[in-house]
Amino acid sequence: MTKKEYTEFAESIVKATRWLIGLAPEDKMDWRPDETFMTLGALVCHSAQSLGENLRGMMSRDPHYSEMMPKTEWPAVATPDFSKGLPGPDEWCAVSSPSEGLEMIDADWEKFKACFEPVGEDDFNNRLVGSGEERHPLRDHLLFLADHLSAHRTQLFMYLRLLGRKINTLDLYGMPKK
Amino acid sequence: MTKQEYTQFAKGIVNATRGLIERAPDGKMDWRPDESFMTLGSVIHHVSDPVGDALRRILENDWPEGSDGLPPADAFPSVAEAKAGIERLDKDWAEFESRFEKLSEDDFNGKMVQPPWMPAPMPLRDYMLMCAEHLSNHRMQLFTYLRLLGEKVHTGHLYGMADTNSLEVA
Repeated sequence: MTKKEYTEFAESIVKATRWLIGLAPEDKMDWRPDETFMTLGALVCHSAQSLGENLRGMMSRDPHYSEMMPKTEWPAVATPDFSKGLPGPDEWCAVSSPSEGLEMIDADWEKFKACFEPVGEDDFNNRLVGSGEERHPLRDHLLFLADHLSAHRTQLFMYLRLLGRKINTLDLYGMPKK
Repeated sequence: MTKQEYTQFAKGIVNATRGLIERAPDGKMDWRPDESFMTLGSVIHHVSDPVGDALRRILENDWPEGSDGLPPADAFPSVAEAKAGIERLDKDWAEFESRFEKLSEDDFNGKMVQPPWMPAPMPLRDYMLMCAEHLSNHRMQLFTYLRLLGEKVHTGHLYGMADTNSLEVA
């Protein structure tokens, strides 16, 4: 897979997620289907920083990549504590408005592009990242991140439907009818 | 993207979906979050022919009536029990492997196709990525249904890593 192919695939998911974030009702950021789920505000926050921030974190921990990373001083992002596994439904960071989520996802996409740009095609497809038995090519790591974002985009779509938004499959894929 | 890379990516999503179907309660196939959604049985039916049938249709240009539009939630066929979904999914993967094997790498990356709902042709690779992404979306829908039905599933089940203890919290 080329970097360009991956970028196009991921960008289509980011754009569709962005579209759905813009449809989120501002007064429902604390809503969730039941208490075992994240709130809408937490879901938006989690979705909106799932590519760039993840790639930045991965690259900064790997000496091979940290040397090629841009010297940009990115603002700190709110992240939950993963030290004991995945956080519980009440432990995720949340945004308080859709506009905050939109700013976050735009910044995250810019961060992704800045970090991804210096990565070579060979590193992308062949150099292993991760630790222990969980090492795999960066390509597969990033495909998983795209799949992860796609999954949460669907979760967001379902939240909006359950909240009464009149949206359909075209909105899910970022292709709303004009 | 190579065929092998695609197969690995799609198989991960298919296997995780299979694990979720196995956990669907047979007595709840008519359940849905509200009447605007598909039933659980319809979601399972819909996710159980994600890539093999999709590849066959695009290669043979054989589409069911209404493929250029959005059917209402009640128009989707359903399975009567989870086992039927598993059988459909396994059959679909076998069909995918059989047909995909015959394609060259150039066909996969360069052959232009156009499903009825897309405004312009696209490489077969991108169509197949769209099929995998489509399955990923409905896998999350199925996962959410199971959670709402009280099934004890966590993020590990969503991604086919149910034995990963570190994922059990959420």
